[in-house]
Amino acid sequence: MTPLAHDLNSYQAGFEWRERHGGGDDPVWLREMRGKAIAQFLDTGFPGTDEEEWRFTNLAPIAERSYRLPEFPTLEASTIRRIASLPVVAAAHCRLVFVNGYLIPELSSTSHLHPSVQLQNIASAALTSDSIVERELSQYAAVSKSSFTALNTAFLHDGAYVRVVPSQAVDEPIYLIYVTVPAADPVMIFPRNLILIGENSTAKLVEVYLSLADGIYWNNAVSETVIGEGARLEHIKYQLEAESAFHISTQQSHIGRDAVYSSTSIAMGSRLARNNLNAILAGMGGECTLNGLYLIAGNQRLDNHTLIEHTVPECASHELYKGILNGHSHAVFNGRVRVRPGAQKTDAKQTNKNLLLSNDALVNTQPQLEIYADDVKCTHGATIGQLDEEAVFYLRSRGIDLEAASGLLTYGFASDVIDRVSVEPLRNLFNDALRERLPQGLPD
Amino acid sequence: MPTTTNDIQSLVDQEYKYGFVTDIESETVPPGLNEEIIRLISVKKHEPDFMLEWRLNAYRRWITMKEPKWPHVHYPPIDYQSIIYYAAPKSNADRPKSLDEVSPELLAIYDKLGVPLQEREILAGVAVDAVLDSVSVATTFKNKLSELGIIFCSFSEAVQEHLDLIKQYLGSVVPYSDNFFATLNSAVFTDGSFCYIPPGVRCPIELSTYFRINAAATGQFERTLIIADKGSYVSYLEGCTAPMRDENQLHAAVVELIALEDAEIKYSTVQNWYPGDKEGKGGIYNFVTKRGRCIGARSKISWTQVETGSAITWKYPSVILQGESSVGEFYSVALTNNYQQADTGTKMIHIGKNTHSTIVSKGIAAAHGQNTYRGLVKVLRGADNVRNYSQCDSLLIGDQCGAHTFPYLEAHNRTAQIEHEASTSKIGEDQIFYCKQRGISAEDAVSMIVNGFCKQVLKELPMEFAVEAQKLLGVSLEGSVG
Amino acid sequence: MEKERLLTVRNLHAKAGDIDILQGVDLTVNAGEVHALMGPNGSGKSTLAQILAGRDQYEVTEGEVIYRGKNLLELAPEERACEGLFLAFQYPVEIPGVNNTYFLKAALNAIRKHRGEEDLDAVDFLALVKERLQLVEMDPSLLSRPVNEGFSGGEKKRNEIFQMAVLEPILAILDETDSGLDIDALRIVAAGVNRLKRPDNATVVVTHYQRLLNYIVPDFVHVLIDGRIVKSGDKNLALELENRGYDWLEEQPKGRRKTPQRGALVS
Repeated sequence: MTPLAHDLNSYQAGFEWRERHGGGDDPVWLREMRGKAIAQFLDTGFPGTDEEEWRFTNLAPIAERSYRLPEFPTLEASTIRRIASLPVVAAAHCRLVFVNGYLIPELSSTSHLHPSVQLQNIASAALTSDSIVERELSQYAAVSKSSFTALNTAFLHDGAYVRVVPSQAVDEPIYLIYVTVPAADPVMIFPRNLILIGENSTAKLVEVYLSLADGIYWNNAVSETVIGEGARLEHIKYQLEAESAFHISTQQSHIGRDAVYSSTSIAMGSRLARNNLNAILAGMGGECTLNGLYLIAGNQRLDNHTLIEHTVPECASHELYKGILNGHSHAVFNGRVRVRPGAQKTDAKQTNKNLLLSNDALVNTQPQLEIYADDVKCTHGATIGQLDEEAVFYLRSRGIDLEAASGLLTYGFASDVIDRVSVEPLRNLFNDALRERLPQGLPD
Repeated sequence: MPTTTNDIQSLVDQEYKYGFVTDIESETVPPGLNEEIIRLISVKKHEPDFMLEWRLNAYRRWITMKEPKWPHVHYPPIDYQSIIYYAAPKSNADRPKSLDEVSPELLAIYDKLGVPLQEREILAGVAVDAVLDSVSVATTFKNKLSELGIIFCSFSEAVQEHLDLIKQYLGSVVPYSDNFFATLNSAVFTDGSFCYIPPGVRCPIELSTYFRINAAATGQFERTLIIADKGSYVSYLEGCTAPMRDENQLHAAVVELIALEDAEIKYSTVQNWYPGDKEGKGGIYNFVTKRGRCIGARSKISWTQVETGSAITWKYPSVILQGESSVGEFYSVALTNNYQQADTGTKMIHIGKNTHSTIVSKGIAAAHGQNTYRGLVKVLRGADNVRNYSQCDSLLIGDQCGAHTFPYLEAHNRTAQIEHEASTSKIGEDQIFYCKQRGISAEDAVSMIVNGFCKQVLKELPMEFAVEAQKLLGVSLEGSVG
Repeated sequence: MEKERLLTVRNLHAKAGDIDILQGVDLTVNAGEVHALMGPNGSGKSTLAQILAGRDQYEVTEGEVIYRGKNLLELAPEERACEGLFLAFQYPVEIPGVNNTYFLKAALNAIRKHRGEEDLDAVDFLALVKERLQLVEMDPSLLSRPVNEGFSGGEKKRNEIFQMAVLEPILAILDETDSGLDIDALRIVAAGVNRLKRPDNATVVVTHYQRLLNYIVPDFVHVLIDGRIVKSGDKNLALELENRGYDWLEEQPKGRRKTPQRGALVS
C-alpha cells in the first residue's frame, strides 16, 4: 500500500487497500459504516487551529507525517514474555491485549472472567454478526462531529467488545491493553471499544495504551460506553505511550437513568496527545464523575477536552482535573459543562488545577459553563499556581527540607486524583509512575 | 405559586422608558462606505493629512477582514453599505459656547433622560461633554480644568489643537488593524472625547460624557482617548441611553486608555441603549473595543461597567499590564432580558513583573436573554509573581434564558498564581414568596436580590452613577421572574 | 545544677509589610521550664511564635534570637525543626494527597538524620506511633488519612500534639492550641503535653485565655501588648489577668497601635 500521508487522497487509497485486503470479508453493515465514515473524513480533513476546539493544539506534527497501516504482528517469544511481564499486564487478571491494533490471544486472559460478561474482540463479534454489536456500534460517537472518530470508524477492523448483562456485580476489573511495538515506518492504529453495561450491573474497566519502545506511531482510539439504568461503571484510562508517539482518543459515554459513571484519566506519555471525553447524562438521577491527572515534561503536548451534557433534570456531575508541567511542556484543559434547557436541579462542579514546575512550560485552561436552565447549582474553578506556601512552611517546620517538601506536596497534589481510583494494584502502579516522574524526588 | 408568577410577569411588561425620537435635522453623507466617503468625512472635519492617511490605512485593512464569528451571539448579517457614516446636527455650524446657546429641543432630550445638565454642573460638579450623534455640542468646565493643565475636549478639537498627543497615542493601545469593528471605527469615526491629565495632577471632578444615538440608521463610531501622565489620577464616566427604533443600529466605538508611571485611570460605564422590544425586534448592536495600557510602573487601570441595554453587546474592556507592579481591574454587571444577548468580559495581559489583576463579573439573564462571560488572563514568560483572581457569577431568572462562563487562562511563568471561580444561582419563587409574606412587594424583592447580587460591582461606581445603575437594573428586569 | 539556657530573645523588632508588630521583645527560656505567653488579640503573640519557627512573611528589623548557642534567625525552618524546635500551629495546614503517617515518618527520619541517627524502620516507627497515639487519645484511623484533611478543629489540634509526641522536641511552642477545644479535649491535650515534659526540654504556651493554664501550670507568665512584654510574673499573673483583663496593662494613651490587617497577624 501507499502510506497514509499529508495528502488526503492517500487516506482514500489506504481505505481502498484495506477494504481489498481483509476488510472485504466483513459484513455489509460494517463495510457500509466504514464507507460513510471515510467520506465524512475526506470531506472535513484535519481540523486547524482556526477552529475554536483546536485553538491551542496544532495537529501539523500528526497530519504532516505519513503512516502505514500495520500488518498482523509476528511476535517473538521474547517479545511475548516482555509484554506479559509489564507490571500493568501482570496486574490484569482479566484482559484483552492488542498489539499494533490486533488481538493477541496468547497475551489475553479471560480465565477470571465473570460468567455474565461477554468479552471478545470486535472483529470476531462482527464476523458472527452479533446483533447487538451491529445495533450499537458507532451509535454514540458521531462520525459527523469529529474527524478523528470518522477516521477511526473508516479503518475500524478490531478492538474490544465488552458487555455485562443486567443485574450483575462484576468485581474483577476488565483490562483492555493496547501495546504498540514501533517499527522503522510509523504506523497508524485505530483501537475501538464498545462497552455496554446492563441495567443495575456494576463493573470496572481499564483502558491502557503503552509502547514497548520509543518510536513514532499514532494511536487514534475511540471508545463508546453505555451505562444502563441503575448501572455503575468505573472507567480508568492509563495513557503511557512512547515519547515520540501521537495519541488521540475519544471517549463517548452515555449515562442512563440513576446510573453512575466514574472516569479517571491518567496521562503521562506521548509527544502530542488529545483526549476528547464526552459524557451525556441521558436519564434522570444519573451521576457522572470525571477525574484526570496529567503529568508532562520535555516537549510533550497534552490537550484534555471534556464535555458533560446534562440533558435531563436531577443529574449530578463532578469533575477534577489536575496537571503537573515541567520542561517545555504545554497542557490544554478545556472542560465544558452544558446544561440543556429543562435540565433543572442539575448539580455540577468542575475544577482544574495546574502546577507549573518550569518557566518554559505553558498551560491554557478553559473551564466552561454553558447553562440554559435556571434551577441549577453549577460551579467551576481553575487555578494555575505554585505549591501552597503555608503547606511548604508546615512541612519545613517539621524538619523536612525545602526540596523534599516540594516533592512531597507535588506528589500529594497528584495522588489526590490517584487515590480516587478504587482498584488498588492500579493505584500503586500510578503512584510508582508518579514517583518516578517527580523532578524533586521524595523522602523514602 | 401563580400569584407570584403574575406579579413577576407584570414587572416584565414595562416599556423602555427612554424611547423617543427628536426632530433635529441631520446633515448626512450618503449611505455606504468607500474611500470617497472617508475623504469626505476627513474634509468635513478639517483634518490634517496624518488623520486621513490613518483612516485610509484602516479602511484598506478593513476590507480584507472578516466579521468575527466566535462570540456566543447570533444576529442577521449587517449590511455595511447601507449605513450612513457621517451625521452632524445642523446647529453645528454655529456651535454653542454655553448651555444657553444649546437648542431647547436638545435640552428637552436630556430632561427626558433625567440628565439636567445645568443642575448637574452646579450640584455635582460634573463636566459633561455631550455628544449628540457624532459631534460635540457642549463642553463645560473647560476653563477650570485647563487651569490645572487638564485637556478635556472633543476628539475633533484635539486633532486640531493637540495633534502631537494624538500622533503619539492614537492607536497605541488599539491599533487600527486590531479587529474588524475597531478597524471599521478607525476608518470612519466622527468624534468622541479626548482627555489628558498632566503629571502629578489629580483631576478634581469626575469627567463625564453622554453619548446618544439619534439619527435613523446612523452608525455611531466614537473614539475616546485618555492619557494619564505620571502620577496623575482621573475618574471618567460614560453613560448612554438611546431612543427607540425598529431597525438595528450598529455602535462600534473604540476607547483607549494610557496610564504612565504611578498614574491611575478609573473608567465607569452605564450602558442603557435600546435593547429591542419584547419580541427581540430592533435594538442596538454594541460592538465596542475598550482597552487600557498600564505603561508605567505602579500604574492602575480600573474598568467598571453596568451593561443593561443593547440588543447585542460584544465588548471586553481590557488592560495590558506592562509596567512593573501595575494593577488592572474589571468590575462588570451585564443584564440580558427578553431577547438580549451579551458576550462580554475582559482581557488581562500580564507582561510586567509583580502585576496584579482582579476580575469580578456578575451576569444576569432573564426571559430569553443570553449572557456570556468571556475573559482572558494571560501571563507572559517574563512576568514573575503575577497574581490574578477572577470571580464570575451568574443569576438566572426564568428557565428560557442562558448564562455562560468561558474563561481562558494562560500561564507561561511558574511563579504565576491565577485563580478563577464561577457559580450560578437563581431567584426562586420561594424567595419571592418569603419576601411577600414579610410585606415586601415582588418588585422590591427582585430588585433587592439583584442589587445584592451586584453589590460588589456597584460599589465600585461613583455614588451618583451607582444610584442610576440600581434604578436601571430594576427597570431592565421588569416582569422577568417566572 | 545550672539549667541549660535554650532560648534568648533580645530586643526583637519585626514587621509585616508596613505594620510594626514586634517592638522590642525580650524573653529567656531555660530547660525544664514552662512559659505562658499571654496577651490580647493582635498583640503579636502568634507573630513571635511564627518568627521563632522561621516564617519568612515577617521581616525582623532589629534584635537577635539565640537558640542553644546558635543564631536562630539564620536557620531555615527545617533546620530549626531538626535542632528540636517545634511549633504547634494555631491553624494546622491541610495537605491533600499526603498520608499522615508517611508525612510523620519523613519528618522523624529527617530529624534523626540530622542527629546522625539511623532511619527508623517501618516496624519500629509503627510501634512508636501506636504508643504516642495513646498519649493524645487520637483515633488511629486519622493516621491513614491525608494530613489534617477533613479533620475537625479538635482533631487537628490533637494531631499537632501527637506529632510533638513523636518528634520529641527540645523547645515546643504551642500556638493557641487551646482554641477550638472543648473541655475534655483540652484536658487530654494538656495531659499529653505534661507527660512529655522533661528536665531537658521546655514549653512555651501561647494563649489568650487562662483556661489552658489550669492544666499546664506555667513557671512564668508573660504579657505581650503592642509587641512588647509589658509584665512578667508567676502563674498568679494569669489568674489576675483572668479577673482584670488586659486593659490595666495597656499603655496610655490607647489607640496608638495600628490595627493589623487581616492575615498579617494570626493571633
